[in-house]
Amino acid sequence: MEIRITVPILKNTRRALLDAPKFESFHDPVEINDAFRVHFSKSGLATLLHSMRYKPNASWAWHRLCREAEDLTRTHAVSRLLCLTHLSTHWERVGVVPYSHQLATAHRVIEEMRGRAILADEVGLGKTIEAGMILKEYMLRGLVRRTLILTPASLSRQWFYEMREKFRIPVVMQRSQYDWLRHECIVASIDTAKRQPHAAEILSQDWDMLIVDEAHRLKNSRTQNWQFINSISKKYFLMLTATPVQNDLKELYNLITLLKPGQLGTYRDFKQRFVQDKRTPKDSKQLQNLLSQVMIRNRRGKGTIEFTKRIVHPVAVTLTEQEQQFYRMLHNFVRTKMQTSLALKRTILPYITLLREACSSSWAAALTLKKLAEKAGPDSKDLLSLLEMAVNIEISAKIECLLKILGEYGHEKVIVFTEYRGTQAFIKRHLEEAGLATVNFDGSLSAGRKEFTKFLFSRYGDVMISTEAGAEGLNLQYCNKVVNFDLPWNPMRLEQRIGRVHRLGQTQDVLVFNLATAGTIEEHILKLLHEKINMFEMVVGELDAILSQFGASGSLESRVIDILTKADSEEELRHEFDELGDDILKARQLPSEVGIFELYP
Amino acid sequence: MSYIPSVLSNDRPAETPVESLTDLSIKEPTPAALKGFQKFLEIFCQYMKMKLEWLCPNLALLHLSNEAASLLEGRRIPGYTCKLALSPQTAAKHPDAALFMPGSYHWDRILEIVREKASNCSKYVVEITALGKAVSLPETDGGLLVYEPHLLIHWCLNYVTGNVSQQRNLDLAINLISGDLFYGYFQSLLACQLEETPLPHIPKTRAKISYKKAYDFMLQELNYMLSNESSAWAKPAQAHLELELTALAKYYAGQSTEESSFNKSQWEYDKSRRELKQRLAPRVMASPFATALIYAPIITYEMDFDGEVLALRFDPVTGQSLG
Repeated sequence: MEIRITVPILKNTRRALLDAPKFESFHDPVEINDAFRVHFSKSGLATLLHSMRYKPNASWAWHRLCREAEDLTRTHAVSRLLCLTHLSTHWERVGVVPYSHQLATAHRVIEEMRGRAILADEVGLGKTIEAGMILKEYMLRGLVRRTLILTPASLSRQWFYEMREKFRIPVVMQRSQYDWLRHECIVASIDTAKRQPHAAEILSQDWDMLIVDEAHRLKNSRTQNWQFINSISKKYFLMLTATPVQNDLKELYNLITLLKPGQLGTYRDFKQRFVQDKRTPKDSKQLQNLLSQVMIRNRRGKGTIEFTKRIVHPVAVTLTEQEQQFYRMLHNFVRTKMQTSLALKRTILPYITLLREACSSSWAAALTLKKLAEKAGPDSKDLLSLLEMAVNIEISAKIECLLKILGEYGHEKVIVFTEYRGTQAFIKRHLEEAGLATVNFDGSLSAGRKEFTKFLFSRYGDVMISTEAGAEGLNLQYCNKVVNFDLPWNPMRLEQRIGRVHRLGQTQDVLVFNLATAGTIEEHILKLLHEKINMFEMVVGELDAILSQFGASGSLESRVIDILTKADSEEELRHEFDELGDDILKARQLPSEVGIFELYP
Repeated sequence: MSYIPSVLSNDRPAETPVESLTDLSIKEPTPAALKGFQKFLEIFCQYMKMKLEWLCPNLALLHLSNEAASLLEGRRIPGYTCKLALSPQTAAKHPDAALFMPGSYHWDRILEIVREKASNCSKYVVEITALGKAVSLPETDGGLLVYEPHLLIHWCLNYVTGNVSQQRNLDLAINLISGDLFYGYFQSLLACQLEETPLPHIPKTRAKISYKKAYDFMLQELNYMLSNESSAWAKPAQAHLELELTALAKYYAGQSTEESSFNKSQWEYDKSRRELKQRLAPRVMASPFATALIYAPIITYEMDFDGEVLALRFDPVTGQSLG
């Protein structure tokens, strides 16, 4: 059954603002001749009967105006891309500027690739925008109705926001197994989608458009992910990845075959024609030609798409005497507890978190200490004395440092990131005391409250204090100063924080201040990121490529935890961090050795 | 078996060349089009009883009534004032103005309101005040004037290929007594200076053909019309589809002989074929966007000819005799 858009329902604000269209069902096609078929509207008759029965005697004048307006609409379409005209005013309001490479990509995918493509732009060039434009265009043309967007769990919300806010596409986040049938445009985590009973529901339906983000996870045809995506019945299909080729040409073959079976022939033919060894292609020109028919890659750099500069200031904060004493005591306590826990094969994560919180702020650590003390009951003597120390700290060196930085920029907008809600509240209290208009932004806020907070910050706020969880889907191109009040152990998170402001649409150089407390684990992290792997000098997107060479980005975090657990002295800690830095540097060298990167169209 | 992917073959139809980026921008409408947009907006405002001011030739200041605002933006939205720019150039000069041209958000929204109002349009009574210059109703010159129901449907035909869709509108009317079908009936009604008045005290005939049957007749007629049209628009798309299908068939034939990890089932092949056809097969999607039931005059002349009564039915709207 074919579907096309007719009259949008204008029942309430929410639907109206989201452009929710009403769709029409069609009869099975009638063969006209060898060349084409006709699909006649099925719901047209029902609408006719309904209007004759329930809505008689409308004005002839409206009828005439309707026909005239429909004729004007058909004869004076002014753009090759309907979404461009349709969204132009909205984009002006929400600050979306479609870049020429994005327009060209959307146009090429629709006109040339006929709706099946791998969008392989380098990170930060707006693959999501391209996918949104393509989806909206197909919706406006009446060719797409049921849409499924599968992403890693951490990105689902971001997609949800982007599609709704930037394209007014009425997507919903999948929450239950009934959502697959109940809604027409769904964003879901791929890991949820592939599990039963969800998978069965998805596979039982025909989807007009399937979008898969981070599609490099589909490189192996033996995985459940690949098999699942391959089994979904879909008309148009977009795969988004910044790294479609990494280690093995077979992975590339798997990816392309998932998109368009037969594009590269059978695997045996592909191997014969194009594979010299696992990583080296032969006849690369011809292979590149074939790839360019299904893959689009836009790059950064001179003459193409340039970002503003990123100026990073590492700021080593010397703790006050009180704070240092507290940290030392806490470190000793944590080490003892970790050793005991490891011996008993218990989790050490609460203690690691406690240590990280102490680096962030004494208030964040105090909250956790209180919880641990309550849990420990009569054995909480140590914890209570630590708690007492934490709450009695009068001056926070980090807060002093933050106020100094903010003081330099008057009332210019600044975003401060922290990992902990406790620290967030702590900072807010101090900044408000200093007379700064401050808003908090975190994952606990409802969608409406998030919107309101963003509005408050854009209009009246001086400082936004955000956690990473809250910052997903947050685009603040109008702000160009970022303070990392504490440092996450996963560099990708740091990259994502900075990416909130350092992205397409940013017109000024971006200033980043990384606060790290001297003499703590944070100092080692800062050294590793700044001096050893020099991550802040990297071009946008280079980091994730390196980390994926190094292993999963999460594994860096676990290496740091390992180091922390095993190192007995400060010297050993330094040595271990040096080794970790060397490993990352090795991974950085790897891509240049791989000839398959030349294959990118 | 040596397999050459279809995409390498030279006889594949030429792909659409990638256009230069400037071609993707929104084009300035022609002066004739601008006039059309202006007229549409003015009439819309008049019908909705809204105030419209022209600040400059292509820039309108629209005072949205409560009804229009709630229709445009959702329930309980109070009326407000907005600026509408009728061309991209004007919109660029006035950043506080919203673009208003076919395809733009405001155009589409207002068109929805118009469609909603017009979709209800049924049960008209047509009084023809002048037929051309010669005849004026109800001067029937001795004929019997009755009002017969006509179902008028405006159709949108959407010609879809893998990468393009083009649309055209046409109207088709059917006499619900005789089953006669008319193209261009809407234009004829306009030419006849149709006026919306209460039904005169003239006999009105009950429909003999149900709406469902009338709708089916129209589908048959459209089917016939489309089968007699040129199918040149569909041929390149059909050829492209054939090539893709052949490539797919070759791929799955090659698959069955090797020990790859792919699912070789017939089911997967059938699924891929179906997806290809859904995506690339050229087709026409026909759907109605407005309907009206019109009681239009039919004059019946009777003449006694050698004892046999001959009857001629004349439709003054289309100017045709109906036999």
